[in-house]
Amino acid sequence: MTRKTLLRALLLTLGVIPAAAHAAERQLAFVTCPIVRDTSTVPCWLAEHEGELYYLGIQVDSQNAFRPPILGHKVLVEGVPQANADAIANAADIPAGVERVCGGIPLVPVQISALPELSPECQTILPAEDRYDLPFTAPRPPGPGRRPLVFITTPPAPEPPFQPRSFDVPYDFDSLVDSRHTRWFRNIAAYARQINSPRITITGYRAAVRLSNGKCLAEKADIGERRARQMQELLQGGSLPDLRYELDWQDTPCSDGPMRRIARVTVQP
Amino acid sequence: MLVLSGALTTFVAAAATNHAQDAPVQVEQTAISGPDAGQRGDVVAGHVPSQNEQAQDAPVTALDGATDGTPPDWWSPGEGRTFPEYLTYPNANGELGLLNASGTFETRGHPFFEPIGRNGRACVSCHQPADGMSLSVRSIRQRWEETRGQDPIFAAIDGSNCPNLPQADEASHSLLLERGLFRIFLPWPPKNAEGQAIEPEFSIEVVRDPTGCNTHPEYGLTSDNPMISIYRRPRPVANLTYLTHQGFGVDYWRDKDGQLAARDEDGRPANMNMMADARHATLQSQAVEAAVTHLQFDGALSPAQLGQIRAFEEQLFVAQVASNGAGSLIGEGAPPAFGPYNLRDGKVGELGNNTNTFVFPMGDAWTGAAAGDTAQQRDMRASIRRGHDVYFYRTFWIRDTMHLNTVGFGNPTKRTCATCHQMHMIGSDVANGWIDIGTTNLPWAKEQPRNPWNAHQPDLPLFKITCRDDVPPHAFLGRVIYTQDPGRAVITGKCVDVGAIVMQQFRGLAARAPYFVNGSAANLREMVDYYDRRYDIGFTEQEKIDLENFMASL
Repeated sequence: MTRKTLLRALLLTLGVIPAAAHAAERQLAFVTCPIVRDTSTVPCWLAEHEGELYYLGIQVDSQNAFRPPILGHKVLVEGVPQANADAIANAADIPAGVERVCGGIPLVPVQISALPELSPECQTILPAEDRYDLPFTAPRPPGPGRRPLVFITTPPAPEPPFQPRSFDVPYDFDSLVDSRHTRWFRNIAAYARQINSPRITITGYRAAVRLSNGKCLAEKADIGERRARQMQELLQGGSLPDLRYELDWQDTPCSDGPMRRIARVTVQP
Repeated sequence: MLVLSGALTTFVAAAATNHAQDAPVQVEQTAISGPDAGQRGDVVAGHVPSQNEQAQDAPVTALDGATDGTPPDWWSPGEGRTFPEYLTYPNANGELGLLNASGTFETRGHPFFEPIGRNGRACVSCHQPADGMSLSVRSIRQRWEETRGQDPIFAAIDGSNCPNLPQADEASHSLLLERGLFRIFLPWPPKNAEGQAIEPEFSIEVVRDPTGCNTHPEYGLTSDNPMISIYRRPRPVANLTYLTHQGFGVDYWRDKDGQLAARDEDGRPANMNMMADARHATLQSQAVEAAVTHLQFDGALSPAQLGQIRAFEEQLFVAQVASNGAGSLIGEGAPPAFGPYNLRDGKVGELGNNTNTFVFPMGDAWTGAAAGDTAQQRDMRASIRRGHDVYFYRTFWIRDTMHLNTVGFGNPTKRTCATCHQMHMIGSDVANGWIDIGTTNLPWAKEQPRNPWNAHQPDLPLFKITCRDDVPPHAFLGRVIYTQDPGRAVITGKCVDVGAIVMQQFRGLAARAPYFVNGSAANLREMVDYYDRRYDIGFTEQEKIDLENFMASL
């Protein structure tokens, strides 16, 4: 533990640093080239920031919550270093007490987003080394799976009286719908059918985040509107053609928290 | 509503009537106008009227394909043969088997076998049973020699490099004779389901036009009926229940890009894995376009005729049944992956990239020596099994592949052949999707080396694609892309789809070389070598041999 970390822990314990400020301080947000490191099983993904290496996640499957970065593109990384986190045990798959995975400090929770423009300098693939093997069993090996992949799961039917239900659909930075979104569409459509919804409201957000270097990184000006309109087009063109759609779009201010790159879809009873 | 020529209009009305009688499913109308959305309920795709215009205006060469005696393995249009329940044809690797599961029938009067258009062709012309219901360069070359270029497969409209060329000249058919490629002509800009132009995300510049068709004043991109000409292999018309399944991964939204899936005539989400560019999702709409473009048919296929074509195509199963080295691939003791009977009985619409289902189940077959086996059989069977394991388990870095590395796997992803080729029993993609592995996009597409010592000139067109600044660039090629065939982007107009091609099934490969959409792999070794080079796999020579033997057994 560094002297700076010790001092911060002491000040936090004494109540000199408010807890909220402490949480914001722990949040890292930076743009960098992603790094992939091979292992004896699946590869893991890393990112370097101010001389430190951070662990982002491993290759799993196309439907996994963690979507690995794209070499050839920079990545926006947002997360809290595990060494400073309060709830290490919440880190998915990482055993308690493990300080580094694949040589990097875990960021928990971590949000990453490949930036759309090409960055051909981002091409680092590190070879496997025994010392960096995963400290846990990968849920899916690099070859065939041990069980069939499941794309479609229908949530349990809700009980009346039915309530409005909101779905915060996440996006990559400056991006619209991609492969991750079909699960959201299915969940939204399932709930709308279950409650025989007549109306859906959609708010598309344009997000911004304060990077750790102090700069504000904001999405394109019209991305909120485009998200809302595309969401309507895909829901209406999919399995919900007869509902009434109400659209809105908003900017979110630049803040120190995780970037809210979302469209909020609310299914009304 | 589409603006159609008279005959096609008649057809649409007839089809609509038939639909109302047979399947009273209300198709919901929405404001969606993408290239796929309108396929719901439409048997005539939005681009077909433009194609029909060119097909009817193009010259029709009077071809009859007459020879001194019809070769037994060549099916000529309208000859009225009996199609038996089971038939086999020899090929260089052994023997191909076709299972006509509904049983023997007479082809006389059947729309798949009759020359219903103006150029003397039938569907069977380019979907030959001996060639796994595709067409090999070997057969094409043989027909040229036997008919002195008079077989209808050499029709000017698409069996020559361009309809304006002198048709008696062998050089005018070079792409068909050397690569097995037919001309596919599609309107540019693309059309939506209503036949209206879609604003593309990119501009197209013809950089190289060795066939002359893309710059031709009557047939090209600047003609009154603007068309892009690209050159593609005919896909096998067999095992199609797999390619048209509506099971795993087929839903209202496509799992690879989140966009809307096409619909079938009843409004249900449809599989989009039939055509190289996914421009048709049903056998009926594909048949309508094929009749217009390939047969120069200006009439209206009746619902009954479309039903006949579909019924024939949905019950035909094709696979290799004998290997020169391994012997019989079917029957007792053979792997459950092989042969057309196993295809008929296989689970349709299943993801096979797992150890519960397998893509090509090998079971315990050929793991031990059986009485009577020769040493050659044992060696070849062992090689085939090893080849399967290379296909299924051998990892490598898959990278810079649009619609694979962008769909949640990351770039690169350490996976296997079966990651993409994962549909149980046929090895295509089980979900809706298309992928750019580089077969048509530079820098990976096969190109002639240009230098003072190489007399060979490039034979395929080359297009420069420039994506607009206000759309996301292609994730791996940026905003300027050079391509021999824009693939799916010819239909969607999207930058991310440039060069993306729907992957093919693996069945009957030994009967239908060359491979890839543009025939750029002359044989199985060249196909394996392409992947080895493209993904820096580092196959050993033994791995390559084993893979070849495995694929030739499918």
